[in-house]
Amino acid sequence: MKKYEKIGLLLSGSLLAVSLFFVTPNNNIADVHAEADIVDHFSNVEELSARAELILEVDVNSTESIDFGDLVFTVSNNTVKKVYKGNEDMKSVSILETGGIGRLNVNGKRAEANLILNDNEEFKKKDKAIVYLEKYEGPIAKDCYVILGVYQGKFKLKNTNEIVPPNSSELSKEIDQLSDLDL
Amino acid sequence: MKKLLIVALLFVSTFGLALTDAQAYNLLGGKHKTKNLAYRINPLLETKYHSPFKTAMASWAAVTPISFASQVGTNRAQIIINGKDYGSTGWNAQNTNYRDLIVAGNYVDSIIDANYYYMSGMTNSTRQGVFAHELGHSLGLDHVTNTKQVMCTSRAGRAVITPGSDDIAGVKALYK
Ligand SMILES: [Zn+2]
Repeated sequence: MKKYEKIGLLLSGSLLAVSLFFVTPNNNIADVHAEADIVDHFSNVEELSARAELILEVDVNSTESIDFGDLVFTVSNNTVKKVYKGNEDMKSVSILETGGIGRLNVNGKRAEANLILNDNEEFKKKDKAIVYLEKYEGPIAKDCYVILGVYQGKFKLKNTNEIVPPNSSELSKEIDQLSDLDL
Repeated sequence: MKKLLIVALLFVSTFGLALTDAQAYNLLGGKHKTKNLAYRINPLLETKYHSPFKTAMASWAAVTPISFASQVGTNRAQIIINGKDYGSTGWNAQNTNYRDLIVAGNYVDSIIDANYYYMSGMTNSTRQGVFAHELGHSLGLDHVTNTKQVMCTSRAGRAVITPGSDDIAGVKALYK
């Protein structure tokens, strides 16, 4: 390889690295990926429905991140738009998810980062979704619910009838319309 | 010229497909710089998890080029095991890989957390399987659906607690 080619390659390589660093979402906050061993796997919507304490259509109003242990968690406060299972008078619900923006132990120092669990990002303000929930029991937050199968019971609404199924779920293949959920 | 392009595309697609068929492991897209890894057990980790974690490390070391040694002095540990009661979050354990340049570069820290909420009631061999799975992520492996591999995630569940042939092939490909 000629000297100029080498320099060119080095330059373009470093340019790419620099741009990759800055083009990450959330205003330059780096994404950090975590892989969890999930307790329950659901292979169809009927299984989700049977296990869910609540099945709701929600609008995300606000989110709050909580640093706990080595990880970050997000509690979203949601308006209940429709109750498919559960108390029909329910007006709001808090949902706890693993992941979010917080101070993580990055390279031996605490730094701000966006933790993403199993390639499924936590709720953001203004998200709309159908969620299959069960009550959370534990020390991180009070009076909140978790999504069944960590992310498997979360179907983001794109338009009126289109949904975005969660990543890496056995359910994802068959579901892309609201009607696929058989609610 | 057009014909040549079609032939080339056909060749690439068939060859490419054959390749994906042959590799029965999936990669996360990163790895540690070295195959000789130092680990640290957080002193706060409940002692009942120590032995299944060590057995899980030994199960990888026995069949791959990877070695695990307890971190000494001020040397940096690449694998850190920790634990806490996180409550009913839906996961047994997790592994986070931190990279050298945060979004790029080799893994510098792999931090594993046991969730006591689910893992305290497990037998030691089930715990070993969970840790072997998380260690696979630490090394750079992603999930597969074959239940005979420790990297399996599926409704049917993992049938093994030690690395299978595809898991081994994956780690051998990453750490030559
Ligand atoms: Zn996993």
